[in-house]
Amino acid sequence: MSYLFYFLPEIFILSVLSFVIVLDLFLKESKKNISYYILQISLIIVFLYLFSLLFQKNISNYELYDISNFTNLFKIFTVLLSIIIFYYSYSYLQRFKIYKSEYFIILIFGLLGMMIMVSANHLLILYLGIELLSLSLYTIIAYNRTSVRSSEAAVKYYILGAMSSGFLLFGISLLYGITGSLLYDEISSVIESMNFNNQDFSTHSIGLIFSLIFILISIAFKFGAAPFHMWIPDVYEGSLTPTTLMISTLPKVAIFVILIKLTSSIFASLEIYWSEMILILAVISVLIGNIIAISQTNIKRMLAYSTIANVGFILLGIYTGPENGYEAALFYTITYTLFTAAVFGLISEINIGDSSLEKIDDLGGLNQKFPLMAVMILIVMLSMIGIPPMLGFYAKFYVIQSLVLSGSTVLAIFAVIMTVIGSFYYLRVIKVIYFDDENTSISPSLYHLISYVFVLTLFLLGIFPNLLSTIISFAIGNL
Amino acid sequence: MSLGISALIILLSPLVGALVLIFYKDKSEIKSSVIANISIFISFIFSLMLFIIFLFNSSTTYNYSNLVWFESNNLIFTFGLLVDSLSVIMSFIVTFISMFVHIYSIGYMKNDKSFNRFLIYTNFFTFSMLVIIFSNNFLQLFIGWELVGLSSYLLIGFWYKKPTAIYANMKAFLVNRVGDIGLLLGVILIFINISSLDYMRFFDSLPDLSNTSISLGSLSFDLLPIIALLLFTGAAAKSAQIPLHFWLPDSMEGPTPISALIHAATMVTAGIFMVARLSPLYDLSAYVLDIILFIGVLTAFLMGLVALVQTDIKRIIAYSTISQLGYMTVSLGASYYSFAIFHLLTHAFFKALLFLCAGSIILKCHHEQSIEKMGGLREVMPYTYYTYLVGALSLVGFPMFSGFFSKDLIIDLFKFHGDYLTYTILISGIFVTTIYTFKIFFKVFFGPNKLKIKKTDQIEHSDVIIIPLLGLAVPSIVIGFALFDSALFNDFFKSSITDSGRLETIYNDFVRSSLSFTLHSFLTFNFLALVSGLILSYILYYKNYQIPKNVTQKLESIIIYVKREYGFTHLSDVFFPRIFNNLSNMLWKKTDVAFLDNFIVNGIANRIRIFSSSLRLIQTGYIYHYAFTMIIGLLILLLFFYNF
Repeated sequence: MSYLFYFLPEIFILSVLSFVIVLDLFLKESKKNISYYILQISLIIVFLYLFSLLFQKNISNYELYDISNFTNLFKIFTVLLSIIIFYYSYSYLQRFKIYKSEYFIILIFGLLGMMIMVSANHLLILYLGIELLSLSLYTIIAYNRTSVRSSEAAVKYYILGAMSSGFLLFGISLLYGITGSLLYDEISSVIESMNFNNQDFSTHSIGLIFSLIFILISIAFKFGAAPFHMWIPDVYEGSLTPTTLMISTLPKVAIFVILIKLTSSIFASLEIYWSEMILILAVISVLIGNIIAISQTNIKRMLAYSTIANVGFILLGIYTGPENGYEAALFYTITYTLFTAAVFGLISEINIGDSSLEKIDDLGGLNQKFPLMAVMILIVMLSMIGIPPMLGFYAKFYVIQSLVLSGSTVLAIFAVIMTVIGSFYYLRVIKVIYFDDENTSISPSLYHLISYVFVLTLFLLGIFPNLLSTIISFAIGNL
Repeated sequence: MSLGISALIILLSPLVGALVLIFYKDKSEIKSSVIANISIFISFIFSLMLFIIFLFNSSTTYNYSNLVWFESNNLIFTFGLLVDSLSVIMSFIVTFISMFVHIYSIGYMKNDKSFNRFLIYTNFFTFSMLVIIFSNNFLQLFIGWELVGLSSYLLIGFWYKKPTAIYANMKAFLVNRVGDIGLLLGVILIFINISSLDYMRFFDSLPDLSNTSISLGSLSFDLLPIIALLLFTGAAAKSAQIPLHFWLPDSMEGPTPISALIHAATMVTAGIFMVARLSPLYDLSAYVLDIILFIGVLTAFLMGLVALVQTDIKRIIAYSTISQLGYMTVSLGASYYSFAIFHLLTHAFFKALLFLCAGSIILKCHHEQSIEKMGGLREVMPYTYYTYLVGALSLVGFPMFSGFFSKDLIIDLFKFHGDYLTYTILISGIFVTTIYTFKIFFKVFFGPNKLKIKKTDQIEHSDVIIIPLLGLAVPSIVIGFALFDSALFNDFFKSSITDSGRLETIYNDFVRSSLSFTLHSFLTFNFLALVSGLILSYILYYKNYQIPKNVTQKLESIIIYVKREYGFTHLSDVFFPRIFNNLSNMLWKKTDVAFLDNFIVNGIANRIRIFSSSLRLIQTGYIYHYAFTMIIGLLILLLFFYNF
């Protein structure tokens, strides 16, 4: 039974979930928010437990399940961000009087899926984790089921998601056929033993590359890399703002972790192939994301395309390889995640009349009415462009630096040009906030201390970027 | 460690004060000024504490540089604190003056709508200045340098609806930009050569660098003098030395407390401070020292003359500031850095005092600034009268006053070393200084009361204006004497400035002690120049002796020439603007509008917009299109890698 120890956080979360599902049935309508508080508290407990694990010296690895410091740090980050997301979701749902405990229950299922998939050392466990995450995402997108857009987005994502799951399974089965195993370590040692000069390799090479492509495409779909990005704008626009906040942040980090885990273990010896594929995806994503974002008028759609562009940047970082690239890419991912969380959090707290914020133009003259809110959005937008004292600058800097160091100067120039183009749509938000006529129907919710603290923390992190980059070096070192 | 923590408190307290004021909802004047004053007061108390500790044991230095700001591959940038005798004495000066100026502002800026903004700026300025003072690397120095430039800009243009203020702050900012480029180039050169920006690393590698040279085409230069010269450009702009001095007189458009704090006592001395801080570098760059000496002598004498022909009370004191900064630069050029810092110290007190007196006079005269229109204020404002007298005597270097110990020391240096040309020029500087200082004194406080200002029952202003005057008058009298034997010549600067050996020689062979130095001074040319200046000033401005017509007519053209600052005014206000206007007009019309805007910027932007709006049509919303795109993507990847 001692190996149950490895699953302790997951088991704990699952038991709390089961308890809350049953408990919720017996709660009166007015007291349903008790479920929220129980879940929030259990997240904090998990966070503390995971944090204490960091300082334990000798954690041996169970072969199916990886609880190294790397995944542990990932889980700490995810749980921490979940707590913030929960806060935003709760305040949003309460404000629009659409609170149901199921929302949070489903969110936690998604969280559980992510924790399982990053810890997986076995392709089937990975698949189960991804499916658990995806299923809860399908559901949560359709949460606002009276809205046509919401249901449409959920159905689209569900069908396309099913396709991508098919790809993943097909890739896994090819891999199993060639290597005879589903464990990362075994597969990678089998592939490693097929030398490039060896006859054995060339007969299997087509199969291997095909499986690589299928698995990669499935991951690219979840990640939102072009040309597998089509679901992103519709889903972002269709779901509630806190749902968008969740979809645009946590799964990205999880998928990123999967990507670097797979590329550094199973496919380590196929680097020349996957790096080129990732390069293709990266260039298309940066191009499409940045250019289409320019002509968007809906702020969530605009941010959806900006997500695609950012994913492209992350992929550019991964492309340059494990030495410098992974660190840069992880730094970029964390920065992107934090700032996207901040921007969607701020958006979710702004009401336009009785509905939530949709159009960029609705932000007109926010500065005159709510200068502090305007400053927060300003900070976040500047960081997303990559203006120096902000964290976003260092993220872009590290990625471009790793491109230069790996000798792809042309790509670095491309990245810089695309950053300039991308700054247009972020700057437009700032322009609308500061220079346009006042929109009288804006009314932010009254209480947003958490947003301020959150953005201020991000700002301070930007002033001392070394804090974050030290943690990231530590994490990558423990990969 | 406690040194580091105290320095950190000194540094951060004004910043915290500024931040609190920014986010502070209740904008009442009293509460705002209490917050600002408390934050500065905390800084001052800790500075005073450090200063006293260092008076007893000046050899302790504390250098903390472990806070890594940003690192990437081989680049590491750190923040740190350097606490030694130099930074401690500077922080003492800055917080001391800042504290009294803050108190003074309560009275002076009363009823100003933007009082809160004023306090935020001054607090922020104090913080920026302390960043320079406590920095232990060039990066932090540069950041502080830019921050004080910014706060100076904001404060000169504080009354932003006044066109002259906007003109002045623009001018100050642009001139400082020239210096900043020099400073930045110097810092970059250092970084290229030792790939570190730490002072200590730099000082340690000086012996190696002294053999390095850089080549520009076929020319080859020694590295260190180039660095020293570039850094001095920055210092010259900040400390208003010829030819980058002309922003300072215009900066008097700002509120008078600001002139006292920034443009007399603290910020303008940043250049002097930097050179003293980098004394090991300047010791190794001999001919740069000659240039510095030359510039200093020119500034000290010529700008004194300009002060003589001005009529605006603040402008006279401003030119006097430039001239006094010239004396400090002279001392740097002679590589007696400690004397420069000592003069900086005394000058800060008496010049801030003079400015605050001027502010008090201006306030009483309903914002009239021309001394020709004033008169007879001695009866009306006794406190200002006596404190001005103290400041004036200190400025002209009357024996036993603070300014005497620092200024005469610098002048006597050249007698000691036998450089009689410089000595003569500097002594004539004393003569000029005395005339213009007492010109203000006689014209403002004596003669008929032209503005008909009545004496009121209460003392001339409120306490908040009187207290700073008295508070600054005390050090203007005593601090020179108090620190002469016990600090300056007691190896106070030994651990931070490299000229202690020279100081010892001059003390043993020439100065001997403060008392003998004072007694001796009555028999020198310095005192003669002072007394004759005083007498001349008395005759001209108290007795109002009319100079014969034919002499004035001959003098007229010279006065006009001097008033135009020997052509610098023309250069800065007409010549350069015209050149740049023409150049930028040409660039604007030919290059920018015709080529860049229409063709590149708008052209590309239009293309991208068209591209973008056609590309977004891919997003049809039909799910089978989406699925189709995915399949196409899959096929492309498969085909692309099929060849392997």
